[in-house]
This record gives sequence, C-alpha cells and structure tokens, in this order.
Amino acid sequence: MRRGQMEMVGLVFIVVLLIIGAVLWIRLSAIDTGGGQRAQDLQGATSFLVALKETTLPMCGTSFERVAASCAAGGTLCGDPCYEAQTAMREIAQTALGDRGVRYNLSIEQTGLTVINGCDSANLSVDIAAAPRAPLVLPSGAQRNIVLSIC
Amino acid sequence: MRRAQLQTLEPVIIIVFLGILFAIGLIFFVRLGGSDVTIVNEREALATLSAVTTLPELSCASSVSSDTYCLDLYKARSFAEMNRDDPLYYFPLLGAAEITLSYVDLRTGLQQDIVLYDTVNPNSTVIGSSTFFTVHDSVREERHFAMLTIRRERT
Repeated sequence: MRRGQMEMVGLVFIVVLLIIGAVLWIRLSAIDTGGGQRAQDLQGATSFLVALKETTLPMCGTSFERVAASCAAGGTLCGDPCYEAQTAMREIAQTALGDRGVRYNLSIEQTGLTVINGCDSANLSVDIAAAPRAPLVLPSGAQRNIVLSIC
Repeated sequence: MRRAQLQTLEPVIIIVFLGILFAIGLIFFVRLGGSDVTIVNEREALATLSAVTTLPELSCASSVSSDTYCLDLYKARSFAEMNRDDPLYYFPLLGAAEITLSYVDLRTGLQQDIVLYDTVNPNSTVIGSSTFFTVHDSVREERHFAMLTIRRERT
C-alpha cells in the first residue's frame, strides 16, 4: 500500500473512533427528561384539582367546590367556609402529595387560601401562570381558579 | 489553495462529512431505541389504570355523576376480598400488577388503603403510576379524595 493510502486508512480509523466515542457519551450521559417529567406533573396536578373539587367535606355535607366558592364570595356556608376549605386543602395535599415527598403550592386565587410545602416560586416545575388550574364558579357567576404547582 | 492541494483534501472532506452524517444517524437511533422500553411500560400502566377504573365491578352507579373517575367504596372492598380468595381471576385482564386504592377520610384525617389486586412477584422490579379521583361512599353519600396506584413488573 502506498503511503498516502495508509494515511487515508488512518484518518478513517480516527473518524470511526470519534463517532463511537460520541455515541457512547450520548448514550451514557443523562438524557434530559425535564420535558417528560413536567408533562407528568401537569397531568397529575390536573387530576388532583378535579378530584379535590368533587371531594365531600363531611363537616359541611357538601363538596369542596361549593365550600370554596362560598369562601371566595364571602358567604357563610358551613359556618366558616374559608376555614373548612383551608383545612381540607391542607389535609388532602399533605396526605396525597406531601407524604410522598412531593413539594407543592396549592392556592385559590383572590381568597388568601394557600397551602405550601417547600415550593417557592423560584423552584416551580411549571410557572405559576402555566400551572394547572381548575375553575371555581361563584354564585355571582364570577370565576376564581384553584392552582396547583408542583416543584 | 492550489488545485493539487484541494484534490488531496477532497477525500478527507468527504470522509469527515460522511462521518458526521453517520454520527447524526446513530444519535437519533440510540435516543429512540433507549426510550422504547420506558414508553411501553408507561403505556401498559395507563392501560391497566383505564381498565380498572371502567370495570363495572368497581365503578360508581350511573346515577352518580362525576367529572373524573369514580369508584364505589363498597364495591372496591368486595373486589379486594374476592381477589384475595382468587388472585388469578383477573390476571388475563390486569396482568402482573399491584393495584392499591388509597383514600383520605377527612373525618379522621387519615389515609385508608385497600389493596384491590396483587399478583406481583415480591422479588421483581416494579414501576408505578398513579392518578387522583374520588371514591364514592354510597352509604354516607360522600365522596372521598382518592388515589389509585398501579405497580407493574418491569418488562
């Protein structure tokens, strides 16, 4: 073989080695699952909110949705609807999320009802503006949102 | 550059270019291949979840309206008891899985767990998925916040 041909073979060999090295590096390095994890968080948060709304508060004999709406409207359903709604939010969120190591921020807009578990605005997996929310329709027809953000 | 020098470099450029194309193709192949198993396992878990929540043996009466999945609490307890007596009855439908219903009893503030179905080999590796919904207590006419967790043997 001529010298030039040998050099060409050597170059091909180096290129192949570089390709194999690059593939191994990509295969072994952590694949970014940030997008998939965020999608999963969103799906879980959405189903959480829908279930929360339908939950019956035994002390009130009616759904969380009605009690929270009464709180948001300044009503008196179940005596102190804000207290009942806040208590239910805290217990349900802690049992369903907090005890499983999930950090969350659960709130109802313009009511002051908020339950936070190690989830400040700097660490949200989704921005507050984009966090899953479920509508709460008040007796007046106005709407507030229940927002759940997962960190 | 002189023509002769360019002619010398031509095969080198071709080899490098082909190498880059080959690397790009391998990268896509590796990325797609690696995620297949995870996607299959997640789809199986979702399929099981869907099968369980629509079983007539577990679902709420049609008169009970719901925006989300609704299971009947007393049906769930009977279902769990039945599966303890005959764990393989639903195996063709549910496969090797552990399905647990957990609900929050706001009267006590405690979580109650009901293992609906369990055919998982204790020594196997499992992956889980879960969803939130409500479980209907038809005696008290109350709905409890609930979670259904499915753990499947990893394939």
